[in-house]
Amino acid sequence: MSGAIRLTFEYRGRHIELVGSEPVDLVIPDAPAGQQGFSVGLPQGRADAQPDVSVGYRVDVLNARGKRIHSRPLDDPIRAEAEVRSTDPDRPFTHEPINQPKGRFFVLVPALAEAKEVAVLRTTVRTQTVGRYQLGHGTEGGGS
Amino acid sequence: MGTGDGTVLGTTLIHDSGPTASRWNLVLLSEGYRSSEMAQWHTDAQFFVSQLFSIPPFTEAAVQGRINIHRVDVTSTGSGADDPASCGGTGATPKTYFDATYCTGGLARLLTADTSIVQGVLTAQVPAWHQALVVVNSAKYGGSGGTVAVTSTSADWVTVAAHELGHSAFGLADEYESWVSCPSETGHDSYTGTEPTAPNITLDTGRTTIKWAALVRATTAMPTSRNADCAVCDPQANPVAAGTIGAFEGAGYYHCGLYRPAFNCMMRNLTPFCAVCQGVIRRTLQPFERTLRAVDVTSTIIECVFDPSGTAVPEDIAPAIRIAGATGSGSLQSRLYPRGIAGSAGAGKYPYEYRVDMTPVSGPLPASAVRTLSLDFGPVSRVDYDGTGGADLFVTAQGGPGTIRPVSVTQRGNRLTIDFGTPGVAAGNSGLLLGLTSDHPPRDTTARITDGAGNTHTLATRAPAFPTA
Ligand SMILES: [Zn+2]
Repeated sequence: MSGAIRLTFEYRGRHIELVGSEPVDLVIPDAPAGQQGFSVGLPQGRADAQPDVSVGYRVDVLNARGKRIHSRPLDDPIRAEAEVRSTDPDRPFTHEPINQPKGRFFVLVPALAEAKEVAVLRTTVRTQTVGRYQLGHGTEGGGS
Repeated sequence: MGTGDGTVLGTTLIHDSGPTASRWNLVLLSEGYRSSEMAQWHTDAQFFVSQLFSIPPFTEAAVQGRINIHRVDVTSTGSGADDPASCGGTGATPKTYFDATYCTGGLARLLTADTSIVQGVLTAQVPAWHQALVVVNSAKYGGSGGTVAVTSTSADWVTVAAHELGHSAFGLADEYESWVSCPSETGHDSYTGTEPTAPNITLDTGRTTIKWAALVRATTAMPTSRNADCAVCDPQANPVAAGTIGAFEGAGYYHCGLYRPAFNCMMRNLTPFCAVCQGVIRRTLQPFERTLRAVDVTSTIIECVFDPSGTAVPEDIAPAIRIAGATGSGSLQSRLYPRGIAGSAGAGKYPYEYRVDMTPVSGPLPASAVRTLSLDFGPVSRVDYDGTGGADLFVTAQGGPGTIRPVSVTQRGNRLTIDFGTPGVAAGNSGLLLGLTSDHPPRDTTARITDGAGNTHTLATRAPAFPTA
């Protein structure tokens, strides 16, 4: 069974584009407790209750009516500053700003029949939609 | 530059725990190794596996059994990575397959590769990849995170890679309290935001409400440490015993207001993962099926491993298996013994045995057979049953009843599935006694069997009362 879709995003600064969405035959890892990836079919209410309160990025899968049918938290995908080794053994990491940050990141979501769009969202104090992208037309997606 | 500067030779599964489609797939790719350096690459990849598997929870059979590690051999014309002089490097520009370079974005130690070339190789070689690590043949410090991470082979590279995997594969946050450096820096005194998504940092110091409440002992103070001066990183030494789980102030790049679960952790200072992060890693890997390692034993196994005195008395239940169209009924035998006695190999642990007995049954195939048996067993305790170094399952191949052995025993989450293949345990036959060990005492529960017609039957059994948190 091809149980998942691998989404490929490209970013330049804070601008994100969906550049690919490919079916892939694999098992999707669980998101850690308290930030479950979830989808329809799981207990009612969770899909609407959980993720808005937490700070960070997430990807939502939306149906044709724009309703969220799956959500998955992301480890900070857009790195304007990089975590690099420091010379202090007690504090072995530091951060340095990247000139013109750009790169690619990947997200696995379940292959849901009613999925039509994906959205990248970022919560700081409020949740903002970073971009919404049509599925099945990977190269046409664009940030908003 | 790029794919013209080398060759993809192929892929080898260097840690094989079963079918790739049901495993968490970690892919190591070589960068900046010439064909004459492939032996070194194989050594480096093996070193990675042995080092990673020495860091808990990756030491555990249950975790290793959910992971496949693939080694993709890629040669490059040149050796190492670009090392621009603008960052104080040598100015070297070796021709390499993934175009790896230090000094990305002007940062000397930010080592990156061309992710789209890496993705192309992954799609062709291991399309079911979850995490990729490009290993650059260079002793100079450098790396970058993400699901396509990059590392050089400088000192302690595997440990640093484990930290980066903590971020990209397991969603763990940094548990250190500085952004650039300690003791002080602007804007990092006190956190004022809402609860972070990450499972290993929090605002909440409530004993019963904190994300990792299940691991906080009643005797541990909450919060466990406070930072007396939020203008600086907390200078105090660990106020409690090493490894204690609580709420330690100073995490997620803030001196105050965010708490971490342990004083030290891989996500703070490259010490071993704390118990909370270990739990997150185990949970993340739960959906991946694990193949259990089985060994053949004789019927004296209980005496040998759990009760050298030989006085342990078994306690059986054996509810009937009735299959439509067959005459007579079979049974699912569940057998308990007392906890392993002190001094025995199985000291303090509980043995469980199961047998599908279709001996009294007669009826047509394929229906009159048991194909699979599944039950919620929880964590299987690995025991050295036969002196060959530890196994999950023992099969009483000699001296006990039955002849039919399973073709596979797998575990996904807490669910154990014993597959007898085709025809299965057919009418007139019995399966061999299969044993497993748990740290947890028994409870009454149900098992499910499927027969040769595809029907499922729910039967009483005994299985460990493992914690479900
Ligand atoms: Zn980190």
